[in-house]
Amino acid sequence: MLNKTVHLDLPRRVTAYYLFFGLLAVGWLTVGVVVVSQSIVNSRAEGVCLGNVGRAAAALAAEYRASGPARLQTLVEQFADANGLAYAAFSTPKGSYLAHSLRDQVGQTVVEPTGALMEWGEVNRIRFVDSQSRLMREYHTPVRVAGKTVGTLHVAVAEPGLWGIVRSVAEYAPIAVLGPVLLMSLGVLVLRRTVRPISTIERHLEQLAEAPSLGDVELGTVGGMGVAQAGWNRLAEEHNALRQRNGLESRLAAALEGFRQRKADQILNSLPDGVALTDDEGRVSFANQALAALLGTGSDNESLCGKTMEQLLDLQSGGASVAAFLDLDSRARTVVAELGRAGDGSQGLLRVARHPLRGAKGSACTGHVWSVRDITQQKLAEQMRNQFVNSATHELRTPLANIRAYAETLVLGEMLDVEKQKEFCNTINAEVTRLARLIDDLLSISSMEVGSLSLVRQETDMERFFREVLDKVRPQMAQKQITLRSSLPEKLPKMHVDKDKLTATLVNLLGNAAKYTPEQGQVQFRVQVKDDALGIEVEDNGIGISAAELPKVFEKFFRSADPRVRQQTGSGLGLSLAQEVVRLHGGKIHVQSELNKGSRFTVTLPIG
Amino acid sequence: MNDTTTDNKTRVLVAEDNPALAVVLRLHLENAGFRVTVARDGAEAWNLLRNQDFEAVVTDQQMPGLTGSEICRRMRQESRLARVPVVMLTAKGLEMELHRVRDEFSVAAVLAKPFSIRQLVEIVEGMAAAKPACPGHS
Repeated sequence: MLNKTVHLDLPRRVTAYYLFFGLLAVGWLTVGVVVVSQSIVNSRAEGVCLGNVGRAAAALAAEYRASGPARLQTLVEQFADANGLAYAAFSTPKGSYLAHSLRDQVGQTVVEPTGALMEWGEVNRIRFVDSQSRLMREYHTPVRVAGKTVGTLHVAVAEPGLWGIVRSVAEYAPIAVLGPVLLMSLGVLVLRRTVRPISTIERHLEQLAEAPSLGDVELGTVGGMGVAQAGWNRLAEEHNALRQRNGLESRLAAALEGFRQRKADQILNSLPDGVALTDDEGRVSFANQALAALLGTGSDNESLCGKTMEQLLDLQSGGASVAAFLDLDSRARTVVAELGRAGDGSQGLLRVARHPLRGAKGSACTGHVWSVRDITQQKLAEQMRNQFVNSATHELRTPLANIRAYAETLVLGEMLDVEKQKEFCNTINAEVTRLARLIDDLLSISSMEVGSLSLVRQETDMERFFREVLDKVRPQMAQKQITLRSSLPEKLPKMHVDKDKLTATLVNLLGNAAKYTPEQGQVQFRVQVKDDALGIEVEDNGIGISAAELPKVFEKFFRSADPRVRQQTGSGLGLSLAQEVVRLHGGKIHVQSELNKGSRFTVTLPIG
Repeated sequence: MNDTTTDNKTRVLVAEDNPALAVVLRLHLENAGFRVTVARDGAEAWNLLRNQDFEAVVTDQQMPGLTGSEICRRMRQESRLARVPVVMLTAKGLEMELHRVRDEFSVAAVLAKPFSIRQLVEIVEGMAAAKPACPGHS
């Protein structure tokens, strides 16, 4: 910052100095002039006096010779007047004034004044201060007539002195003073005009000096054609241009940053996974909307900031400490873990991943990126798939085990009688059939997965078709002593259907009815023809399906959690397959059920 | 011939929910001189174990009620049953599974379906011969 003691700006300073020194010079000059003129005047006066004194003495001598002392007084007085003398006097050799222009001095004794004496030949001069404090010069010279001194002429002048000079000069003073003053004023104006551009520059520089940062200052240009102006203007233009460029750059950078940030925010907020950034203290500095939804604050992701992830996750886990569970202490490690909501995962499962963020050049961990995903569905799907694989394996290997065991037994012929042998062969056949059917199911499911399941339609006598279906399931029903009632209409049309797949579908439905109905239960099989559609109903009074699970029964691999269902073997694929087959035929299948009361499956097929 | 009980026959419990397989298991084991009791599911098997003595157990893994491994676990927790040898029949064919099952449940042998029934009989015979059921008998 400027030292503000210097208040005057350049023009005023220059003017002040100019005037000061100028006036000083003028003053000095004036004094000098006065002094010089005084001495000039003095010496001139001296010269005049000396000349006059000589003449006056001669005139007096001539007068004395001619007419004696009578007219001396008159002469002396005339002489004094004519020359502006202080006095003129003639004294006798005896030392008294015979004539004196100051009349009261006539007849008085001559008193030589005391003072500095100077002699020029016969003329003496004495300088002295008289009673009125005037500086006087008295000249006296002897007056001779015919070689004989008859008296002394005294002539006295008052020296003008400094004041005298000043007074005589005074009348010229106005002009003398006015002149320089006018000139100097003119000079000041010219000076100021010359200095003005520089002073403008000085003001700008002052601005610069005071500004906290150069970039804030916009420099003005100055007018004028001078070198300094040109130089300054160039500087100012460069500075301003630079400043603009910098301003532009920083605005651009800010805009870009803002744009990137908004884009980043948009991208992050569009992700289905929850994403959060935590700082090195573990506090959330950014959270996207998905995370807010997952952690239960709706779409308010701002309110998550400031809390630690541990806190937020603890809320989810229902109190069980997350930190220990997720091994969060080792900060530099990537941690991936599954967190069950409500402690035991009964409310869902979250996959939580935490990656460390490294500062520049792999320095210490500056924070973490968290990713949270709801994998409840995924887990469920996995579980069901695993279950399916398990049951498929079991279902495939069981008949194989039987076939092998029975075949081995047959080989050891002595163990069995002929009846038994025949029985065993039948069993082997049955197992082969079972295996074949399962393999068909699995293959169908695979086809369904890749979307390549297709129907092989043929003209089918529906009555025979239904009878065959019922025959197929009767053994299974008999095993559990289940009553199977069927009702078919009198006239059944012929239909263009895929016999194999439709058989499998109906056998599946009836098989389910048998499986999930306890011993001595009832299963009803009803066929109706209404308008252009064939309706098939399979109803049982078995364990039924809960309302929660009802919408899911047609899902692939879905098996009810009910232990009574789990006890039975099943792939979870039957209904899914059935639905697909019915759909391919252009029909519909739906289910009604009540837990512990029974279920009714209805298949509708278009006849045309 | 194995004569280690009062009626001279080693008692074997067969837990198998698949009826066809149960039939043939009984046939072969009885033919080999064992007294065979068949349980149709895990619960029944455990019940029988608690109330009767057996010198050997042949059990399926996947059964309704209790699974074979669950039965083994319970057996190993009861001193009376802890040392009864068990053969596990499992449909899971993964090597890893077999080893795990064997070690975890200290079963004497694990057979993967489809297995050879003669092999099974040999194993049971080996189990019965290796361990004397009653102290005092060699």
